[in-house]
Amino acid sequence: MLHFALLFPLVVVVAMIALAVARRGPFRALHISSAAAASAEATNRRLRLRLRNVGAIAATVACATLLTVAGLIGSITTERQEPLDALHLLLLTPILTAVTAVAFFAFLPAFPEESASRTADLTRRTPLTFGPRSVFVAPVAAAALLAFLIVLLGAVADPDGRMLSYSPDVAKMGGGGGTFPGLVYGIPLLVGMVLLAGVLIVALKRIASAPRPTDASLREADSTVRLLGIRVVTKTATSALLVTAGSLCILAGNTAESINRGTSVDGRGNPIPADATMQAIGTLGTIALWLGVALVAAAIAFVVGAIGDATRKPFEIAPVAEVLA
Amino acid sequence: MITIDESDPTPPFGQIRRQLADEIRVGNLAPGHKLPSVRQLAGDLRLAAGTVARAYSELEADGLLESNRTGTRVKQIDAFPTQAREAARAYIASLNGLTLEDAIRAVRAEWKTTEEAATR
Repeated sequence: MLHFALLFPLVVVVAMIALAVARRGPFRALHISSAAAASAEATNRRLRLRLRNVGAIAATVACATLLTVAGLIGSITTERQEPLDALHLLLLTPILTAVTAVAFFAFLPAFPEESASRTADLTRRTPLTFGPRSVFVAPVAAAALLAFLIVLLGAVADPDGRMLSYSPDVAKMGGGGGTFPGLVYGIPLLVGMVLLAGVLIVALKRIASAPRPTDASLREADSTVRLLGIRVVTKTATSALLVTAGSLCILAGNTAESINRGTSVDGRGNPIPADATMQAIGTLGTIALWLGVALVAAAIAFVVGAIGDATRKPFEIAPVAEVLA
Repeated sequence: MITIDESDPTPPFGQIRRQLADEIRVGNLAPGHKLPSVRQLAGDLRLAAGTVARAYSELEADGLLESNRTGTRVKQIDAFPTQAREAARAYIASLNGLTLEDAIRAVRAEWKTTEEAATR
């Protein structure tokens, strides 16, 4: 279980290294009136500090706490833990970390304004007002993939919902089994996924409907800040869902491959020919392992994107000539 | 666009109510138009959410808005007759610096005089 426990921290560490070496300029160059420039710069500074600090603290605390608890429970006892065991916590760690991060990233700092004028548009702002539809496709697709995997693996697992075992009928010996992410692990993940979806929807609505600046020249800067916020929460949620899906695939693939290896010798250690079912289990296990690795790699890409968007300067105030060019 | 005028003695919920009612009656907000959420409008106008909620609920009572789980929308109403709007536009053009309140007071007084003359 140790290698499995290291999977999520590995994603975070790789993302941090990628960010440390990446060049990150401001997201956009905007022309802002000189009267509003001070307000824009103040928001730039506040946003960067707040998102970077809150995001990093929330993700680190949640991840560290849950992994520590899971590790302690797993190391103290060898008995089966009910209702949640160490593997439950390890599988839920990315989703719970994402829930925490998304909840914090939903709070965008307002543009400080000294104007006494108070005006409002009569149009409802939605997440689609600021972010292109493509931004929202990734979390939906990742959620659909994870739900499909949970249902599929739940159907394949043994009736106890936490193991997969196979014994060849002819030999009546050999065979094998191991921990498998059946519905015992899948149902808490589904609950976690619903929780993450709810928090994500609330966060997106909050980002879209937060108060907008009265000064018209700050509107584009305001839209940029909101777009970055939307990108951060959607990428965070997507990465959590993908790393969870990848973990399920790796766990299932590992168990399937071990079954195939276990049935290749009889009780006396003599090789026995693998039957068609064993071969199929072995092949599917290999495919699942590689799919899991690909999903974890995709999750790393999304984590890098999310942290990159959260820590970069949203905009810089450009000279008029540069904007026109 | 809604604007809160600090110098207007009308309380903010009254200003929102009046401006929204005008926008709906002149047809600037079409039937079915989805209004901003109470939280969004209150945030933009730097008011308490209860102030905007009160304006919305009074406009609902006036039959101009309808709310359901998806939000608050403009209700189907009979807009001001074109003839009345054209007459109002001509009247505004002839005011020569009178305030809106004075103009409305003058219309109300003349309306009363005309009604009294008609009943005699």
